[in-house]
Amino acid sequence: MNIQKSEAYNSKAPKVEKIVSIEPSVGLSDVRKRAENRYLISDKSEKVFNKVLAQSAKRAGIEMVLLDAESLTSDDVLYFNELLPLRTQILGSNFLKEVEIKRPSSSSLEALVPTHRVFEEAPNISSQWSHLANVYGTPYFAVHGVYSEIRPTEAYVWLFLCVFPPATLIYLFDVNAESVFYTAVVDVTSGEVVYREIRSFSDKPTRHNLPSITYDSFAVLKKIRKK
Amino acid sequence: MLLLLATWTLPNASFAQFSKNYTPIKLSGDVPIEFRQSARDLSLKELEERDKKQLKLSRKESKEYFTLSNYAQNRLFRSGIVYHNDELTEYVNSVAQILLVNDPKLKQELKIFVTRSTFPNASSWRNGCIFFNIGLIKYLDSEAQLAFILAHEITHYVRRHSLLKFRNEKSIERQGVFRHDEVEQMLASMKYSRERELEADLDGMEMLLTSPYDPVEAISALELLRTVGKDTNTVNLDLTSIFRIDSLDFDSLDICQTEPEEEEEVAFGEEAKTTSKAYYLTGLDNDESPQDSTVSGSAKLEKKNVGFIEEGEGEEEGDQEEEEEMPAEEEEEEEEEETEEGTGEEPEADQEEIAEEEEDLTYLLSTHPAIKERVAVIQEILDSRKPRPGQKFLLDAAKFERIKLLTRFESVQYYYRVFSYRRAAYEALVLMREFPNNQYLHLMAAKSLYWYAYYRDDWGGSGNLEEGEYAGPAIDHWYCFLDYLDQDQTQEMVLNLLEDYGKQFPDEDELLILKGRLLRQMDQKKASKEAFRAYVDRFPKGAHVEFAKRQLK
Repeated sequence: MNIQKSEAYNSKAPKVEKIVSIEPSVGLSDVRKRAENRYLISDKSEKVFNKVLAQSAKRAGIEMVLLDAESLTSDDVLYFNELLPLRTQILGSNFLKEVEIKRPSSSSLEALVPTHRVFEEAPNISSQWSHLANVYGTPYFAVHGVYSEIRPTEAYVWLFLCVFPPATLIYLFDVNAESVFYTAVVDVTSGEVVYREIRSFSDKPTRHNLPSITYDSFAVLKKIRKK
Repeated sequence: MLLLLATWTLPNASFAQFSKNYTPIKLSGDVPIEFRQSARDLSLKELEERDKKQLKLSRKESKEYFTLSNYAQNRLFRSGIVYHNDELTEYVNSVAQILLVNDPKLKQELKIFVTRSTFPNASSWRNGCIFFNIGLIKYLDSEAQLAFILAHEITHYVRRHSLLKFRNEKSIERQGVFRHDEVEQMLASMKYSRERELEADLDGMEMLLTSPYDPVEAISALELLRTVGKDTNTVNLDLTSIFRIDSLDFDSLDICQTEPEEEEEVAFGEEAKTTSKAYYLTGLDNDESPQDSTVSGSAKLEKKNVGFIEEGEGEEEGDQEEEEEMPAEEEEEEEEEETEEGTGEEPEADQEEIAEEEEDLTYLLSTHPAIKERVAVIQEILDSRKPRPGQKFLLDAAKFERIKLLTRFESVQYYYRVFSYRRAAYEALVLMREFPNNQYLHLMAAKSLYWYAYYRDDWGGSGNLEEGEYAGPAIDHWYCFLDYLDQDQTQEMVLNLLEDYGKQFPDEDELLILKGRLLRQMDQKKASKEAFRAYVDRFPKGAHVEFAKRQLK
C-alpha cells in the first residue's frame, strides 16, 4: 500500500492526554454503486471508523471522547450550539491556511505534500470556545475523517487477464481506490491548531488498514510535548 | 390611558434589544428526534413499511427514494443550521396555525423549521418537513406574504410532488430516452416541474383565499422573488466615516473605476459614467441615488447560485431530489430584456424559436422560474373571484418587523460562521446605521474584519471563499474596497476600528483580545503583550482569560 503523509504540529503544545473528537466522518464514493447504497455503506463504515478510532486512541494512551449526533440525548443542545460550529472552524481554519483537508479528487491527492514539518506559525481559531476545556476536561478538540473514491477495475486489467490469464489473476483482487485519512486537533484555550495530518493511500479504508493509520496518528499526537 | 401607554411601549420594548445589544439565537430545550435519528435506520424502517405508503414504486426504487431524501435531510439537521425552540420557528408556526385552522390534522403532520441559511428560499420535503431560510423571511413585507409561501410549500407536501417528481424521473430513465443527454433529460422533466409549481401556486392561493389573510399579497410575494438579491436590497457604506486609514487618502482614491466588463455590462446611459468614488464613499442609499448609478466597472458581478444545502460539501447525486423549492428568480429579467431587444436580423419564426429556447434555458438555470406567468395566473384568479379584502397582519405588524430584524441580525452571525467575513462585516455595518449603539454589531464588524485580515493573504487577496448569494453592486464595491487595500492598510484599518470600538464599548472584552492578537500579527510584540495584560487585569473572569494568560507566558 502506497502511503503519502503530510503532518504538522506545534512543538510548543502541551502534552495531549485526552481529546474530544467531534463527529468523525466517512465518505465512500464507490462509483460502481448506486447513490443510495453509497450513503448506506458510508454510514456502516462510519461506525467501524468510530470504533477503530476509540481503540487506537486507547492503545496510544490517549483518552478519547467521541461525539456524534446519534450518540446524543435530547438535552445535548451544547453539541449543536458549540461543537458543530467549532468543528466547522477547525476544518475551515486548516482549509484557509492552505491545507487540503477536504474531499480529494485524484488530482488533489497528488497535490498533497508528503513531508513532515513543524508549524512556523500555527493556524489560529477564535478563543471563543475556550470554556469548553472546562466542560470536557481537556483543551484538545479534534476532527477525524476518511474519504475514499473507489472506481471500477481499469480496462487494461481485463486485457492482461485475457492475454496472461493465470499470472495476472491477482489483479482481479486489487481494488482501484484512493483514500485519504485526515485529522486536525486544536487547543481551544490557545486557539491554535496543535496537530494536523493528511494521509493518502491506494486502498479502501477497512477494519484492517485503519487501525495502523489511526494508531500512528495518535502516537505522534501523544509525543507532542512542550519544549 | 393605560391601554394607550401599553400599545406604545410594547413594540418599543421588543426593539430595545436591538438598540443596545443582541444575543444570537441558540438551540434550547430538548433536541428533537429529527436532529438525532439515524438516516440509515429510518430508511430501512420506511422500506419495511412501504406498502402502507402507496408509492407505486418497486422495492429498489423505494429504497432509493427513502434513502436519498433521508440522508439529505439528515445532513441538514446535523449541519447545525436548523433552529429549534426559538422565536423565529415559533412565529412561522403561528402563521401556519392560522392558515390551517380548519385542518388541524394537516397541521399536525407538518414540521416547520427555520434555517440559518441566507439564501432566499423555502423547501418542502416528502415527510412533511418545511424549511424556511432566514434569507427569505428578511425580504418579506407582510405576514400574508409569508402565509402564501407557506401555503405554496404545504401544497407541495399535500400533493406529494416530490414523489411525482421521482416517479417522473424514473419513468424517463426506464424509457431509456435521452439516457446519455442530461440536458435533454432535464428538458423532459421540466414540463412536470412547471405543472407542479403552478399547482402549488393555485392550491396555495385557494388556501390563502379561505384564510383571513389578504390574497392580493400572493402577487406581491411572487413579485418580491424577482427582486430579492438585487440592487434595491443593497446599501452603500459611508467608508470615510467608518474607517480610519492614515496611509490611505480616501479623497484621491479611485476604487473599482475601470471600464465595465462587456459580458456583465449593466450600466445605463450617462449616469453610469458618473458613478464615482464620491458616490459610494459618501454612502448614499439606493433610494437616495439614481438606481443605475451604483453600477461600476470591474466590481465583480459574478452571480453565485448557492444551493439550498450550502453548508454541505458536495453535490452528491440525489441530494436535492426531494425538495420542492421557492427561491428567488434570478435570471428572468435579464433574459427578458435580451429577448425583447433582439438583433432585428432573424426571421420571426426563428426569433420565436430562439425565445423558446432561451425560456427553456432560463427555466433550467433557475430553481424557481416563470414568475411572470405565475403572477398572471394568480391575477386571473383574483379578477374572477373578486375575494373579500383580507389582512396583511393577523399576529402583529410590530412582531413581524421584529422577526425581520432578527433574521438580519442572524444573517451577520451566519456569514461569520461560514467564513464569509467580508459579507458578515458588511451586514453588520449596514445594520449599524440603524442601530449605531448596538454592541453586538460593533463586535461582529470588528471580529469579521479581524479574521478577514488574518486570512486575506491566504486567499490571494480577492477572497475565494463563499461570500453568500449575490446581492448587488454595493457589496461589490465593498469587496472591491477591501481588495484595494494592502495587508498593512487592512491591519491598520482593523486596529483603528478595534481601538475606536474599544473606547465606545469598554466592557466588550473580545475587542481587547482581538487587538492583542492583531498587534502580535503586526509584530508589535510589546504592544500586544500590553493588550493581553490589560485583558487579564480588567477581565479576570473573562471568557478569553486563559488565552490571554497563555500569550503572556
